[in-house]
Amino acid sequence: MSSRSKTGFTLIELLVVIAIIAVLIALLLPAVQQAREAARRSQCKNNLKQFGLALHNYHDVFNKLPPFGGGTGNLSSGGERSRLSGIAFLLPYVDQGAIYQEIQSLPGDNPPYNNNVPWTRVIPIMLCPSDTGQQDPNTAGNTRGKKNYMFCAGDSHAGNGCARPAFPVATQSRGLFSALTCYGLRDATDGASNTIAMAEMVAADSTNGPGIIAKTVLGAGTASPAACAALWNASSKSYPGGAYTGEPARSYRWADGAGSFTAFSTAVPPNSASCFSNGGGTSYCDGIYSTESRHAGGVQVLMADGAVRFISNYIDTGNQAALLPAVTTSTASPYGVWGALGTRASGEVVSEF
Amino acid sequence: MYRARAQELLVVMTLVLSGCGEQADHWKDARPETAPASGMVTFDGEPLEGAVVVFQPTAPDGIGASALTDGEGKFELRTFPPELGAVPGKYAVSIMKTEMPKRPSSSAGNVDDPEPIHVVSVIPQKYAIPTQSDLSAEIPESGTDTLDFELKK
Repeated sequence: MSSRSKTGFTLIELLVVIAIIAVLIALLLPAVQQAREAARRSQCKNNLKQFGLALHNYHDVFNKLPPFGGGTGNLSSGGERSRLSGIAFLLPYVDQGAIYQEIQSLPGDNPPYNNNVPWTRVIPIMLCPSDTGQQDPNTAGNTRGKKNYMFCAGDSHAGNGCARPAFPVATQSRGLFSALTCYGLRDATDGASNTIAMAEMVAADSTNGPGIIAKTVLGAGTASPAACAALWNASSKSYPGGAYTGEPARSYRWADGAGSFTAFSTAVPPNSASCFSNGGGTSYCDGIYSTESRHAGGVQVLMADGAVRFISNYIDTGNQAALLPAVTTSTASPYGVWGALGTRASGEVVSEF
Repeated sequence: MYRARAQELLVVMTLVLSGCGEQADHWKDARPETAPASGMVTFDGEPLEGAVVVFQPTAPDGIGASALTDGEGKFELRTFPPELGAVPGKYAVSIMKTEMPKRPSSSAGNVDDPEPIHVVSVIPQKYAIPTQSDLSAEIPESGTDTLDFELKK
């Protein structure tokens, strides 16, 4: 009788064991969610790395990097109206030569924003699994494929400098990519490891939120990142004065080389506002567009040397009230470490980031 | 006795878990101190809604701030959005409010639209240019709520 009682459990012992198991499960469950997001982030990072390799392979062949937007034809007709995204130039280097051929064999006038087959392709390497945006919130039935990666156009206007009607215009930028202008790694005198090539972008899932552009157009000569930041409520992640409504969702046209669809600027901090920045008689193209991600705390960026780095939202962005530098200049960036990383030849000393 | 152990365990667990909060960010730690700074913008005596107020520091290493005015013309400056407050110091101020006139054709204002856009300033254009606006302000260390600007036609 006495030996039997020694081999069993008391109720209290059992309850304590159950409590410990409950605590362990409670600890584990959030960890599983974290692990899933970590895995998705790794996938995003790997895609960026692949684009890094593709850029270097492209550079080996042509001795130049592709433009962020370019192509054949002009604005009103012919070819892709010079609005083919830089991604399209890289297709043969990311195992998508078939789509490249498909674009080349398109007859006549094919702006990359109509519903032709190549523009509707969904290419896995352009998609970050952390991104939740699935369908263009502004244009129901938009079948154009989305992309989650954008090219860095320096720390000033990212755009086509598209003064009408003289489009297309070759435009310079302070970064590694520009419209109809190709830079080589030789032009990155700041050092390839200190110059951003590409970064992440989210696809919008609402008509006024991340991945969307502000309605207010900043006037020519008065545009600064601080003015853009004033138009953005960083807590509610929306534009209190309203969002732009004519095709503002930046990620839903993978093939379009217009600045808003394919480039970003390091004038505005990561995960912040995007604004059109040149209201002086141009159309909707020049702007300061932010790079955005759904990862907690920052964005992943691809440096020109092929390294992928995680950049905090709180990175030093200098004096945001400084007016945007002219794209033809190579003065030091007023926008701190983040601005310095965006420029290719401005000679800033970049501390650790 | 078991209850006492369980309670000890609970306390230890709470301490361990609370240590896993938000991590410190060295960029955030390096930011300068800010002070609350707010005020009001009027145009011809009326509160000006939806104007962008930009504070441009006069010190070469200063950091600017900006805000949007609300329905009563009031604004609260932010240097590091979403946190309120601006870095104390002297500033040149520019205020801009623009609108886009109706387009001549029935175009939708689409990015694919070849029609040029012209932004028109609702208030005199000089207020939007820091060097011509003739507006300045100083934010003391203790903060201020009297950054008032009276704009005229």
